[in-house]
Amino acid sequence: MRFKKDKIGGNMAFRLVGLLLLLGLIAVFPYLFADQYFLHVVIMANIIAMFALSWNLISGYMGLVNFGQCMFFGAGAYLIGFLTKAYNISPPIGILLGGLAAVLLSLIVGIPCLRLRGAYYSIATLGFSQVLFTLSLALPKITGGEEGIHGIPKFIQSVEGNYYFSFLLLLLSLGALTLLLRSRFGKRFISIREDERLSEAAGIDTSRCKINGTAISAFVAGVAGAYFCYYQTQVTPDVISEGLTFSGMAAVVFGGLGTLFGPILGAYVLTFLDEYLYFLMDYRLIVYPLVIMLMLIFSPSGIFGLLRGWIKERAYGNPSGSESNKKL
Amino acid sequence: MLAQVILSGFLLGGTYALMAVGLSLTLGVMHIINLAHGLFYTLGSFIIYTLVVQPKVNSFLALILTFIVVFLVGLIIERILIRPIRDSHLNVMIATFALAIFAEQCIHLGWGVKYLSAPPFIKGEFQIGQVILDYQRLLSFAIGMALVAILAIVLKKTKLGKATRMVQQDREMAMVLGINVNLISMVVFGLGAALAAAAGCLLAPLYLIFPAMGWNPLLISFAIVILGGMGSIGGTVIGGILFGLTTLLTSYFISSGMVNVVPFLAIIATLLIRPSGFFGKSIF
Repeated sequence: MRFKKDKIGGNMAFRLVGLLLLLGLIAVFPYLFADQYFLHVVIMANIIAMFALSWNLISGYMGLVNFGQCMFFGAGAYLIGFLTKAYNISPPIGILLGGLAAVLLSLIVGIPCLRLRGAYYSIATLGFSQVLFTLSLALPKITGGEEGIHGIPKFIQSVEGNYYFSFLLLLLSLGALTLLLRSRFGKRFISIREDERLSEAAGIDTSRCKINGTAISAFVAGVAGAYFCYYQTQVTPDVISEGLTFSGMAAVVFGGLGTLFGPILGAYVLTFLDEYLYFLMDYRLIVYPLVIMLMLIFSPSGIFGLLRGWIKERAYGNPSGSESNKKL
Repeated sequence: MLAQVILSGFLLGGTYALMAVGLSLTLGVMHIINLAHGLFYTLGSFIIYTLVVQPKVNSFLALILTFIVVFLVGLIIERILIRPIRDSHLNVMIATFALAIFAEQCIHLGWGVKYLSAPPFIKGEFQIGQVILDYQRLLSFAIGMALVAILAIVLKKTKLGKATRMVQQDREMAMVLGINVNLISMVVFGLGAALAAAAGCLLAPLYLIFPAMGWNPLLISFAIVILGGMGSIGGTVIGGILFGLTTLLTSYFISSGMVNVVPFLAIIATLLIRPSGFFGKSIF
C-alpha cells in the first residue's frame, strides 16, 4: 500500500512540473518561432481541440453518441454573424452569448431526444443538424446562403494575440471539464455511460444529468464556434456541416475516447497533418482516413491510450504479464 | 401534374426501399451502424457505368456483375475492417465513415470530378391520361421490389435465412447452437452492400453519377429504416415509399431547397412519438 501511495504522489508532482513546463513553453513559443502560418495552425488546432473536448464529454463520457455536434458550434458562430450585422456588441460578451445560444439549442434538441437510446439518438441528432444545415442554405436572406455572412470585425488583430486567446479558451475549457469530471456531478455522467438503468436505480436523475451534460458540452462547442467566427471574420454553412462533426470525432478517436488529453492530442496531430500534408494534394484525403482505420483496428484506445499504457508499464512494471501473453 | 408527382414519388420510393433494406439488414443482424452504406451505392453506380459505357456490356448482365462484385467487396470489408472492431458501435461508425471518405477519394482519382450519367436499361415512355412515365422508372421499381421479395423469401424459407434470423435474435445463443456467426455476419454485410449497389445501378440512368453521390442516399436510408423500424422488411418498404412521396411532394409544394428538411422533420417527429419506429422492435 505504501508503495502505491508513493507512486501516486510522485505522479502528481511529475504532472504539476509537466503542466508548468508546458504552460511556459506555450507562453514563450511565439517569441521563439515567429512563423505566422505555424501560429495560425496552432490556433485552428486549439479550436478543433475545444470542439473535440465538447464532443468527448457527451459521447465519450456520457455515452450519447451525438452525430450533430456541429450544430452547437454553428449556433455560436451564426449568432455572432447575426449579432454583429445588426448590433455592435463587445466580442467577449459575444463569445459568451454564442455559448448560451448553443445551450438554448441543446435544450431544444436534447429534451425531445432524451427518450432515445443508442443508434436512435445518434440518428435523431444527425437529422437535427441536417435540418439546420439545409435551412442555412435554403434561407439566404437570414444566413447569407452558401456565401455565409462576411465582414465580421476581427476581435484580436495580431496572430500572437489570437494564439494566446485561443489557448486561454482551450485551457479554461480543459480545466472546467477536468474539475467537472472529478466531481460527484461528473461521475454521474460516467455511471450513465456504464449502465443507465442501474444509475437510475442508484438514485441518479439520469434525464436531468443528460440535459445538464448536453448543455455543458454545447456551451463549450458554442464558445469555440463564436471564437472561430471572430477569428475567420466570416460564417459559412461549413460550420454546421457533417465534415466538422467528423473532424471532431476523428480527433477524439485518434487521441483516445473518454480521456481528457487525448482529444487535444488528436486535434493537434490531425490539424497539423491536414495543413502540412498539403503537398500531397488529392492523396491527403486518402492517407488521413486510412490512418484512422488502421488506428481503430490496431489501437482502439487511441494514441493517448497507447502512450498511457506504455508509460504505466514502464513505471509500474507489468504484474499481470499480459505482455508475455501477447508474445505467445 | 400532381398525379405525376405522386406516381414518381411512389416509384422512387421503391428504389429507396431497396437500399434501406440493405441497411436494415446490417443494422438488424449485425447490430452495427454502417456509414459506408452510401459508398456501396456509389460503387454500384460507378461499376455499372464503367461496364455499360466502355465494354458495352448489356445493362441487365452488368447489374448482375455489379451485384456479385460489390457482394465480394462487402465480404472482404467485413473480414478486414468490421470484425476486429465490431464490439464498439462508435468505432464501427467512425471506421465506416473513414472508409467512405477513403473510397470516395479513390473514385475521385480514378474517374475524375466529372458528372457522369449512364444510359437507360430500356428507352421509351408511355402515357396514361396526363401522366407520362418512362419505362426506366417502372423497371427500376420492379427490379427493386423483386430483389426485396427474393430477400424476404430467402430469410423466411431457407436454412441460411433461418440461421440469419437466429443471429438477429440472439447472437450468443446462435453460437451455442453451432451456427457460424462470423460467416453469417460476413454474408449479411456483403448482401447489404450488394443491395445498396443494386439501388445504385437502378438509379444510375436517372441521376447524375459523381464520387460524393452516396451521402444523401445514406441519410435517406437511415430515415427510412427509422420510419419503418429496424429489422422489418415490410415496414422498410412502406417507409421507403412514404419517404419517396414526401420528398417529391415537398419539392413540388414548397421548394426543392427544402427537400432534406421536411423528411428529416418527419423522422424526428416519428422518433418522438414512437422511439423505435412504426413497425419494428427496438434493437438497441
